[in-house]
Amino acid sequence: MPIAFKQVSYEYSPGTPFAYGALSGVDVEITEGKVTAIIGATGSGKSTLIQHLNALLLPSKGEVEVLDRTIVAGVKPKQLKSLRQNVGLVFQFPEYQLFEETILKDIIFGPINFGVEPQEAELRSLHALNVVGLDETYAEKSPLDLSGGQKRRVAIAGILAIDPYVLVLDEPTAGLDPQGSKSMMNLFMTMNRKYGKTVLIVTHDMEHVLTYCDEVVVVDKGKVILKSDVKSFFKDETLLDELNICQPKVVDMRRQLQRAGMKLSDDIFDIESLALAIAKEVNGHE
Amino acid sequence: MKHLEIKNLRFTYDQQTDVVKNVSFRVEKGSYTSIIGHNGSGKSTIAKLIIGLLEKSGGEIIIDGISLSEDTVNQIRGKVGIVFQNPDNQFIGSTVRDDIAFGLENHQVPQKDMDDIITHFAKEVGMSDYLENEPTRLSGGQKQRVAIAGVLAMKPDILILDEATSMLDPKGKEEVNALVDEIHREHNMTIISITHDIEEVVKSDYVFVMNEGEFVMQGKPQDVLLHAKTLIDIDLDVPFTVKMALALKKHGINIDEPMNMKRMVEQICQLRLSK
Amino acid sequence: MNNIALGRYLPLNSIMHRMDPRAKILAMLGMLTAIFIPTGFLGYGIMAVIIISVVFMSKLKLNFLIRAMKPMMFMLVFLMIINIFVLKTGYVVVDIYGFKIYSDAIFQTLYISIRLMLMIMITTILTATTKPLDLTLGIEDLLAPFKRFKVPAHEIAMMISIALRFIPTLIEETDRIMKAQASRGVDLAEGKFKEKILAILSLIVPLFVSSFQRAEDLADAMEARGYIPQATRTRYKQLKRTWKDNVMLLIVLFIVLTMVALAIGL
Repeated sequence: MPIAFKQVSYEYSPGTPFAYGALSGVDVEITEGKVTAIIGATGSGKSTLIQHLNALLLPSKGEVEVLDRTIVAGVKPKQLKSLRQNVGLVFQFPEYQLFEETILKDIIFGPINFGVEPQEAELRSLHALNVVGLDETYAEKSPLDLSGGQKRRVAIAGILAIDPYVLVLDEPTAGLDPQGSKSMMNLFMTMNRKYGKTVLIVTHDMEHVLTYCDEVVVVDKGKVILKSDVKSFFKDETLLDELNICQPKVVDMRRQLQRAGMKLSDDIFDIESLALAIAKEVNGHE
Repeated sequence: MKHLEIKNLRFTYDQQTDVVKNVSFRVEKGSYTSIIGHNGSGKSTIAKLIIGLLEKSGGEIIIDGISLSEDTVNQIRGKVGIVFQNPDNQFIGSTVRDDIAFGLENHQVPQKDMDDIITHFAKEVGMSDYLENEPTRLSGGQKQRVAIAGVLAMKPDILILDEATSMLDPKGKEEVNALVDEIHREHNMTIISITHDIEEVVKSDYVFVMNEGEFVMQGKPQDVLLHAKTLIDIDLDVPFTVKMALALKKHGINIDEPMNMKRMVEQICQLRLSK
Repeated sequence: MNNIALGRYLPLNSIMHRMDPRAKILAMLGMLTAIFIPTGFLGYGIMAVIIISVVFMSKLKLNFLIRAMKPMMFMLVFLMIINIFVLKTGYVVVDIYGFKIYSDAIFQTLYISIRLMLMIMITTILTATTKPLDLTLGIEDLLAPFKRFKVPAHEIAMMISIALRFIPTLIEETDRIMKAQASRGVDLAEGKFKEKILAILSLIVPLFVSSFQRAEDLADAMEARGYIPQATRTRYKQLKRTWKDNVMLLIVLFIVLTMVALAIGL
């Protein structure tokens, strides 16, 4: 079941003096079962793009294929609920969407809205709570008593409990400390590798793109200008410079060494391999 | 000269939770000090205690020889400026111009002098072209630069950055960091940066590592940041170059300056040629 | 949200835009008083001509004013219906199978409609030609003499200007939370009553929580920058009154007096 944008354009406040086009002629297909990074400068249209995936925004032109549905510009889609159930969208700073008195009630809110039987919904919610790394003792606590990072986990659990096929996250690690973001990214890895979800992550962090993602989609001025697998993306030096994207540190260091005349493979993407390759080069002259 | 001195500072929340436990430190005039710690380690509380937004439970805060108390708090606030985390929630005026004016009005700067001051500091932070802009038409990085201009206009001696870049995109971070470096250099401004961004710590003169309300390590970055295990144990990270140096060490390559990628590359190349 | 016309500032350049906000507020109050004086259709006719000419002087488009009045249309229709049922004086205008509509019902509705429309026009001229911040400063200055009666003029002005500053931010926030909850299956249009209540709560509670957070942050930022509510502050924005403002106020005074004269039948 594909996720594809076909010539999609989107205009905010059409027909008013404030109208502006946020997307124009976007053509891209997201590979199922992968972790895809969506990158691009602030204001490039990334958020507008992902809001088309569960029909929060409807295309002004073109069409969006999501799973078994096709949303065509100008046609009001029916049964949005079933679409939203299958595409779980987590906004930036989702901790601000919590509202119930207890954590369990908040997580269960989504599944119940989508018509899941209460008993089943509770089981799913408790499971989701576990998956995000909080145990059952949290179920009856108030979400207001949690730390910022924990609140965010609860908010994400609220989407996981809906059990969508596709998980879309808008800058899920913004504002978290290093370990917090690391375990957050590992959570999404688990969702992908263990539970087989297709995961899309909007991010600015190139280290995350390199370490966790399979594919990358580059959005620039309302257009998707590239989709590629992560490794070939970070191999294309001229492209990175052109896009003004700051490279992951390990790639940057390898490049500097290569430029200084060292023979290192372009396929080195982690610290251990780089250290090994350097050692071979340095000690190889003995 | 000791610019800021903190002795046995304590802060207890609800009379039971110790957020800051017996913290002491000194900051030299014109230095760049970093305080790092994971979210909830108590580092932001220290900032709020220094400018008297929270009332300390014990200890002493001395700035330029003045001890912080209810009577001196306004005097202290004239000496210490702070930029907070959320760019939206500290923009008070309805335009850039009005926002810079806000602090001046509070400090009773005569109206006729304000225009010059506003123009000067807007230029200093590179926001001259945006004076009439509303906050909704500015990026996060621009809003933080306006916040810095607002603080600078009050001519403080110490600038505290309370996770000022943690909500910004890479471009915004770069803008703000570059500006802070420039202010530090050009004005010899004392900077205290509270952060969890380990790469930002590398450039500071002195660093305090905070965990569970206390300092667990302190010293020059090159001394502190090499303790990779301790840092990771308290939920922090290690700079890339340090990770690289540790990985190389396993292969028998010792790096002299593990904080500087450029020097590291040079050294590796030399090692290769000399062998 | 961009379609709201009522209360919106339009950055144009007209003589009315350049008037002093204090004078404009006083003029508006004067004109509102004049409208309240029961002068009959002749008086309202004169007022309408004057107000419409001010609309043109302000370079405002008529359809902008009509949009500003739209929210009131429902109210006017409602009023008409009530009047038809309640007022049974005057002569019978229409008789539908014994159900009589009297002339007073129609006249009364017309009176009120015209007055209401004129009032909306007046206030819209004020808000469309005056920057919100200038309006706040004007209110602060006008309230200043009442400080001795413990009217917190400065605090009121500060509150209004912060509220104005945060309106766009809160609109953005509301939009984001609505979308986030829609992603969790919230549907405000459908569902049972109980579900709707929960849906509204899921929007209101997060808005409150985040507004309190913002308020706390803002208070910290203001205090850190040396703000003390009771303390004397200097003021950056100064309002300037010119002879044009005095002329405008004199004209308004003349209009009010004319209306009084019309009302008592001089």
